[in-house]
Amino acid sequence: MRSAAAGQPATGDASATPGGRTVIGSADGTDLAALVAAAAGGDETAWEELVVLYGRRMYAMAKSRLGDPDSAEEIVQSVFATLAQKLRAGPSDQGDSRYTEQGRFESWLFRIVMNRVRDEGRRRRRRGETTVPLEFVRGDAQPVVEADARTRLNGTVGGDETGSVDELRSAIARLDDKDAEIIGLRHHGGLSFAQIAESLGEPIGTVLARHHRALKKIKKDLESRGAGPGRTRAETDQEGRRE
Amino acid sequence: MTMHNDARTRQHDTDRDAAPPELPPELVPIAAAIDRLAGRDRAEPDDAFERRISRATRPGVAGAIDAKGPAHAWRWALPIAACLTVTVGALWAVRAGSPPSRAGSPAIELAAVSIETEIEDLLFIDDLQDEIESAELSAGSLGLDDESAGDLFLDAFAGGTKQAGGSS
Repeated sequence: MRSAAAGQPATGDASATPGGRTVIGSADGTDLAALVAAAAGGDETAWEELVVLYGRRMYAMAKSRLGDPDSAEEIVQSVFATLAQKLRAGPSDQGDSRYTEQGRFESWLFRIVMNRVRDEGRRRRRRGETTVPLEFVRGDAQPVVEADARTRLNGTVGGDETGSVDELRSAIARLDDKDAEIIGLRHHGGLSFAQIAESLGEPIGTVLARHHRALKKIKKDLESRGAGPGRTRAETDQEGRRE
Repeated sequence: MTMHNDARTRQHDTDRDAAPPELPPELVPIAAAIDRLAGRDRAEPDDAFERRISRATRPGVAGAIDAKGPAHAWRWALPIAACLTVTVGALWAVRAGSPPSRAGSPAIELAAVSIETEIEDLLFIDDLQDEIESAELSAGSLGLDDESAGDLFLDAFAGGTKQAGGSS
């Protein structure tokens, strides 16, 4: 079931939550506000639902930036711990940093994730480590951090259109931080451009332009390595053999 | 579970561009590929992921984050180091606070005198034994009869006693 979910953009159904409750059939702002309020009031089921809703998106975003599953999960835990504190905090406890419902919960949540990822990146740079595995940055040595990444999804990430998972990860890893953040928030975090603009505090037009630019860079990067859209790795290899 | 998670997270994000801005056609495959990659990443954590996170972080148990990462691996190091430091410090303080100043203690002095006396007595007995052996040898070598040898032995014993008494 999980693998089916991996590649398919989802179409939503109502679904059972860990608490056995069926919620958020159409998760609009009202539902989310009620869920957040219930979680803030100590409703464990509501809390679990928040984790189900956002945990994997947060994980994917952190993983895309850090390349390390353990750090990604640690960041998710850390952000949810912070969220628990801020939701439970009284008006005088945490000042402006506490969450106040304004219909911007996701932007606010992912801003925390983004800040944690930035902190971790800074910490790694101070220690002389790369933010993502070095192989991804260099784009050599058939980078893999997990066995899963070694396998191809139908041979390529994009079916017949793009290069391998590894090549795509490498191309994203070679983006500069701002572009990579946009890709992470948009594709891994699943935020709208409006939400990304809120999270980053930038005009939506700027966000859109940056997103386009980031995609173009990835495309160019893949093409320069012979794995761009329109050709599979097998085709590239064939071409190489002909030459 | 993951599939419906994914479904819900996507669906929940209803304002994910009600009218998404159109991408240039040449970028659509790349965007789709990244979406698929993101889907893989979302599917990567095990099935217990949500339960693990929610149990560790739900309001009311904040701070009970699972020890998983390297940062948490050292969380006991500081308390243990503090305990060790306090213990070593306390031991040092006890030793430094009670230096070996027992020179003037009457009990110790008496014990030392007693030991000295015992050693001297033992040395005296050793000497006496030597004296007796040499007397026996002398008597044997001189071919004295038992009575004369006994006198010589008594003389030697008296002399040894006198010598020992004089030395002490």
